[in-house]
Amino acid sequence: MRVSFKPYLALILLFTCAHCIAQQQTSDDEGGTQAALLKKLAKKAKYGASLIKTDINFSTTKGITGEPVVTALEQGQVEMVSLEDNAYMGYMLPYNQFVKLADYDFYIWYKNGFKSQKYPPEKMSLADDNIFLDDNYGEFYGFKAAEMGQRCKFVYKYVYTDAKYFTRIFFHQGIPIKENTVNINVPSWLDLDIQEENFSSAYHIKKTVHKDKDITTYTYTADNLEAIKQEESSLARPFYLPHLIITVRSYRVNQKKYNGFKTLADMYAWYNFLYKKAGNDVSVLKDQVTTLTQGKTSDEDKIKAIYYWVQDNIRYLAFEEGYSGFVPQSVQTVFKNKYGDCKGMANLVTEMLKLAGYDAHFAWIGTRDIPYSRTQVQSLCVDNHAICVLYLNGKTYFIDGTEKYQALGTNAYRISGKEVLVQNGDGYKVETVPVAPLETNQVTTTAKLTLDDDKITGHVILTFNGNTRSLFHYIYNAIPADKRKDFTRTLVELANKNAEATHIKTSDFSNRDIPITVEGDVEISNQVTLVDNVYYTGIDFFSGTLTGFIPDKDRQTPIDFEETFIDASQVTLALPNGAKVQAMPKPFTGAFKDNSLNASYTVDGNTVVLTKKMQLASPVIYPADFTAWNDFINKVRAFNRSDISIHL
Amino acid sequence: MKRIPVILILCIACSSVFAQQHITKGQLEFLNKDNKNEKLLADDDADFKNNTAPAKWNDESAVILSQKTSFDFDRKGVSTGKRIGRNIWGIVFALPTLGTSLLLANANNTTAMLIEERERRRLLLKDKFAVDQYSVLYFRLAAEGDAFQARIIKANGTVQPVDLSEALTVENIQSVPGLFRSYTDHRFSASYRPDYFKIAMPDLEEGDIIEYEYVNMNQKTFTHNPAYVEFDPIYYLCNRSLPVMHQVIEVVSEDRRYHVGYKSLEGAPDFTETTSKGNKVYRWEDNDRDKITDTRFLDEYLEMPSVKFQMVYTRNSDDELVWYKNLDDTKKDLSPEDLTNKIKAFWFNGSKLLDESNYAPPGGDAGSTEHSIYKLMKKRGLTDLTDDDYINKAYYTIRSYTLYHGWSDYAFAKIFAKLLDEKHIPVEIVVTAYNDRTKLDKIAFADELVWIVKYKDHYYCNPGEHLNPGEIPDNLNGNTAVRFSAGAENSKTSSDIVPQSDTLENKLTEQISASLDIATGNMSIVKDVEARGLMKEDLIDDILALTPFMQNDYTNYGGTDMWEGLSDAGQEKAMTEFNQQKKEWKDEKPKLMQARAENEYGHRIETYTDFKLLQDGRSIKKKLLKYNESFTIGDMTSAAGDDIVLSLSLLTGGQTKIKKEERTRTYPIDIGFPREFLWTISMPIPAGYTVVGLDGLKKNVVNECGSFMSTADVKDNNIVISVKKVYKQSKFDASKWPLMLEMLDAGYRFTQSKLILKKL
Repeated sequence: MRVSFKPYLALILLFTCAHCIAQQQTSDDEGGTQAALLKKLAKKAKYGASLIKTDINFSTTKGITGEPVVTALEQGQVEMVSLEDNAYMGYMLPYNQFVKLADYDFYIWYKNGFKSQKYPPEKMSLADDNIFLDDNYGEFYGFKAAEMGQRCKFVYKYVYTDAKYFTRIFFHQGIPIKENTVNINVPSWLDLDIQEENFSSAYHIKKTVHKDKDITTYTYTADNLEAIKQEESSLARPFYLPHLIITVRSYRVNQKKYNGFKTLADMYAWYNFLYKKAGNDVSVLKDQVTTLTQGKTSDEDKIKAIYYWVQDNIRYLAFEEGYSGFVPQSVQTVFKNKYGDCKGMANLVTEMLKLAGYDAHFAWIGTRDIPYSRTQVQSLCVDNHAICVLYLNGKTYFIDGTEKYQALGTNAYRISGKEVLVQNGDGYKVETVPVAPLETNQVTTTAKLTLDDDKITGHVILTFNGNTRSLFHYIYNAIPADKRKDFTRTLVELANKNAEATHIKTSDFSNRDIPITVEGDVEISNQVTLVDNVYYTGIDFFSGTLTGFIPDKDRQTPIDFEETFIDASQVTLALPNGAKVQAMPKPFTGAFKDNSLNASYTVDGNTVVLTKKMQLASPVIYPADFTAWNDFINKVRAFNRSDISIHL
Repeated sequence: MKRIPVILILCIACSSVFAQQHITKGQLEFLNKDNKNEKLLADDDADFKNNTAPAKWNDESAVILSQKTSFDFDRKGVSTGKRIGRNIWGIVFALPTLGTSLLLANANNTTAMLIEERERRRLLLKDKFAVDQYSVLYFRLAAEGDAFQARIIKANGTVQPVDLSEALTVENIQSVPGLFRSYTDHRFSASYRPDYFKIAMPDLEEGDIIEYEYVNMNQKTFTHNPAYVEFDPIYYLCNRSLPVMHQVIEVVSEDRRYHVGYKSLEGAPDFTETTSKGNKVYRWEDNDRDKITDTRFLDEYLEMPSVKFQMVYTRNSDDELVWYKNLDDTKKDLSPEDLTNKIKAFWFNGSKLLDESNYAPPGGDAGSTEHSIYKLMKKRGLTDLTDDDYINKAYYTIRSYTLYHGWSDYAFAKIFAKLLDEKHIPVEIVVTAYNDRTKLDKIAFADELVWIVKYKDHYYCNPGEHLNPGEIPDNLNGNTAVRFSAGAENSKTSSDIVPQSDTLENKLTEQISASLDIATGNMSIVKDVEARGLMKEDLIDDILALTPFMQNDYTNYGGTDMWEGLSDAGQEKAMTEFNQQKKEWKDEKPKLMQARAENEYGHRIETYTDFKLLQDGRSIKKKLLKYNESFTIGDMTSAAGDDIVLSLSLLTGGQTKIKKEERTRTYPIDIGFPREFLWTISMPIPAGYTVVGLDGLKKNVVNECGSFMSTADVKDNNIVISVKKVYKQSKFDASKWPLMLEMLDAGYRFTQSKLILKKL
């Protein structure tokens, strides 16, 4: 369940489309009081919600299988107040085929009460740039509040046509909220699981339970909620914001009991039902599979031939319209079009591997953007991706068709460590994608340089392994063919604009199973300052690393690097005959959690050697750790500002 | 997998109510009908026979095998629907609405000119990047007659048509790449949001050829039958972003009242004129062009092969406003006499131009605009001023309009000249062309003319947002021109030169005081900047952005205050909104300047402390732009034992680094305008240190292109660096490139030179 905040960018345009009704509005004392309280929560906010109240009730209807399903009716009320004069206030409600917006009304405070605005909301598509087709729409009401303290109210009704799609409730929003109350009214015929996530003491959330006849009402009240900002490289919100996960475990209709997602088996049954709707006709794949595996003698080579063909030839285009968000496109469609989304690609590669005689299975997985364990949470919010799982000779392979340059047996960071639900007929399996040892994701740079008068010349070799290799492939192939030499040249030039590289050689980039190597000769000018028979120069060409990740002072959200790796380099500088090192930096060791930098300068005969190893193994930095993180980064920066001096 | 909405406050771009969805059956039927009528992707087109690219382009990402753009002006022989501009929705919903939709769709129909624009392109995709780029194609379906077809030609020659029934509406039409938008279409706006569709290209692989063709029926509408209409000119470089084997432009005129003005430049082929089915057909054909490369200091439209053309409509087919009467004329350079005659025709008989939107001031015609401005000036008591003061006030009054809504140069000259005529101030009109667009003898249509008003020795150019009276923008600086009396058609015309400013007038001065924090390597900077002449023009947009500079503009034009003319209630409302805006600008301006400083110095700005606009440079008495700022810049030092290596020279900002492959040159060098930069940097030597290495910062290159001179000394325990960099002229012949390199290299080496603070 992702939420795109890209839309915020065009705020003003939207408001210019909204109806102009400013002539009806007036502020009042209550609005002034609310505004003052909300201002304390967010000084720069232009508006906020004094009260959000949501009531959730449940019913049943006939589902697509013909059996009854639980539906949910969500009735909401949002009371807002402007925190500045001339503030644009508005509220947008998203919906799609499964979550229908049944009613939406808008009121503005006028003299003694809220007055309904008799015009329809603006409707718009919320299609994400990365999704080729989806059915997410939104309806919006908004207006320009002339004065601070102007109040308005939004009232809506959502109908979840199947409560499976009612997965989570978050308390925070993009505006400050004084009070947010959620009432979940659970009838006695319904076994509803409400899991509380991230309910730390940092948040003031009160829970009460009230039973009235057949209805048990769970009330959660959160107050003084900060506006959640959209910031670069942020950790996914379910990791740190308080929220509820809603799961229908079971329900009774006409005295008969039905299971929702009571167990993982129930959830699997639902997935499998949708998976089987793909309607595969594998006959169209036979020739292709035969062609790909012909002449290959080992299983590994055959599997690679199929896996890499899918990576190379099937373009990623996402389809999330209605059930196409859950039902994979058929293999014949994906094969014919040569494009598909994760489900389509997983379906295709699974069936191709099966045709080649392998034990391959379609599988569902949640990427690292999702914090939940499959054994603890049985809800559609657990998964957002599909892959293929292959069993061969006692080994389990995780085959992700959307990864364009992943070698067989290696896994992208975004799925490593995650549990996979494997399709297996009427049963299922759960596997875990192994986490690759950090050492396997390594960039190594070796530079053998010579100081010759005021120039530095030498040879540079860069090697990329593991996921750094995949990343290299992504970048390299995203560059037009005629610009790729510039890219490899820049690497050999160590991104130094005073360097010029020649005689560049590379490994075979078409082979994704071998490490990437790029090497060449380099000549670096303007790198040496000669004063009074002393050379001053720097040979640390990686001084910028990590310093771009210094959080702004008002950063609110955790930083997530979304990668772990090691960057190791060794630079040697041969000195002119008779020259002696006058000064060089002391060894450095700095660490923040599992992230570290170790570096040392040594002298070996007539050569200075810089050995540097940066390790990024704790990719998430929480706000509570920003001070320590900044301290670490500043120490790294201080070390990076190190030169050597050489006496002739 | 599927996203499930969470109720959250999202504020997003307002889009058409026709959000992302599949093409409807009705739309598809119309598309197929139009496709059939328009005979798209015809196999018998001789321009589309080639399916291979030469070996010299083996390393390219993609190659344009052939492309053809055709314009048919005021398309005849089409259905009534097309002629009246019936839109597709009117037709699609005609049946269920019993024709009401058609009536509504055509309710605003007025006099219209119809242009059929057709674009066909065949591309060879040679790598993954190219396959990704053309993975999705876009097409418009907004007017009757709009058509689109696409196909894939596989490496083995198999042709695979693309099924358009899979097309989806494009929710955000701004995301439609320019390649799929026709030249003669209107710009997208809140009131013009045509329907676009996208189609994923199936079975697309490296080595495939994609081919598509679209037809757009575009309309130019008028509230009356116009006497003279200029369509937007098209400037077309022969070299494109991809190599091109074959490219064609065809312009068809079905009516003798349409006239093509065109010019081929720097060896580009000429148009040929033929007649087909009674229509005039102008055809331009070009072959074998490498892709365009990014060249420094190059004015592409002056130096590279290109063609420019414009279609003009005149109600009277023999109108004297027609720039070229026949195709042969277009192949010759304009003689001064020809140019003079044409210019005078436009000035003295061009009243009809002022009916035409490209020339008229926004929201009115020149006559009424002039009248209301004069009336306003009279009310303000400005008409009794001396001539010189009156001229300045009139100029600033016009600027108070052009600050918010651009005027054409012609409208400015007409209105300004008339305002001066009100006081019987005799003026001359100076006509030239923008020097980054064309030369005077290569002007191909009136749209390229620039109109300037001259009084005594002063040249008054269209003020745009910031010009003061007499200031001349860089693209008019030193241009050759013709001059004649504004009021006398038979007066003598003379050649003229728009005054050219030199290095004394175009100057940027920066006084930088730095102080170093030894422990952190951070440097605190206080910087005073003064910009004059064209250096001011270069900077002014950035510096005035997010400042309330306009609040004192009334003092320039002689108004009473910023809110003059508003009612009390209107004034109060406007002031409240402006004050709020100022508050936001105050927060945002430091961020903007911080980003600007980071870009200029290539270093992290640790804190941006202050920005002060001292003088906005928008007044006749205070023409200089002055501001100061203070900030802390990081990582300006490195430690070598106890010594400190100091990058003080970086405070002159990024000096140009010329790469190895740029060191030979055949094109002339275009610097823009002559200019001088002066930097003075001072920094106290930290206690316990002495400075060495000053000689490394001393450069002295002086030649006929310019100079780079720097000194570095210690004065009163301060390191003082003075730098002077001069570009002597705006343009140089390519043979001067080595001299230019000398000074550029000196500048770059200077910025890379370090000082050493030696521990005592």
